[in-house]
Amino acid sequence: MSDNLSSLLIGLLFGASLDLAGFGSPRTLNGQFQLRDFSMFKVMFGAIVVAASVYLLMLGVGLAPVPISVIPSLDLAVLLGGFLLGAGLVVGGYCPGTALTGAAGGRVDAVVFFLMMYPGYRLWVWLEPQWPVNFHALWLPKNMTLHELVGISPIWVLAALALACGLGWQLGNYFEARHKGEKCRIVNGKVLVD
Amino acid sequence: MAWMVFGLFIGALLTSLWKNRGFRFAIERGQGVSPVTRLVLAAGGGLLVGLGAALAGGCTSSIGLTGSALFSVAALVFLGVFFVGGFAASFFFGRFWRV
Repeated sequence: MSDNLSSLLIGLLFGASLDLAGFGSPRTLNGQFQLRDFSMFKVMFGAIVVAASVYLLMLGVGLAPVPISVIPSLDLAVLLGGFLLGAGLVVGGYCPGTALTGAAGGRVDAVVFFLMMYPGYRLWVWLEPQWPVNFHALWLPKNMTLHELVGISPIWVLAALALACGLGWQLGNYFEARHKGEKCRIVNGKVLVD
Repeated sequence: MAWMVFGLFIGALLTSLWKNRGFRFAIERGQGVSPVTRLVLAAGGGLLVGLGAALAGGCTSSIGLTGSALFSVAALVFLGVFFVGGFAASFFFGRFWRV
């Protein structure tokens, strides 16, 4: 399969999943940070546990690992960038992928959000050289994974993540039940409260 | 990359149509929030996310999800501060999303 075709297929599945999870709506994402809708936690951690399980299985049957450069390295840039992304997601209601999902449903605010990401990127390109700080000085060896750092089998990390996911899921159900009537979805442009 | 972005849009559009939500131009906003306020917030959020993604060298999906599925320490730390940033902003901006 050509690279373009596989990219298109992955994009189709990704967009469909984000939309079906309700992430085209900024209400769903904001609901996570108001502890009334845990869809975001459930989808994110569910995806991580499933993807990690499939990846370990693929390695187990002898398939080649991903290029090591795919594994992010820890530095100040990742720390600050993560904080800004979380804050921006709440202020604007989207992240890059969900802004496109929201735009596909006709949301004008999603289009504005998406277009403003480019000036944000340019702002960083302009700002970085003005600061006497090396944001990319590594805090840990490059491409470090948790199992390498702790010196255990990746299976244990997977087990710990699955456990954290399960506990978070239960906690989410508890909060969602407490906020019953505040989880909403949009159908034909109208807000429906479940 | 461009093909994936295009696919993402089409994939979301197809499920949106399939689920009978349709394509309808609208500004999604919380109760009592004016369309202008909402667009300013969307623009500000987009700027922050663009800045953050440029700084971190990736976004929620690329670093947070893919990286964490590979057990990257950086990705797990990223997800932690991502949620801290979200809760901090929600303290000030959560009121714009009253149901």
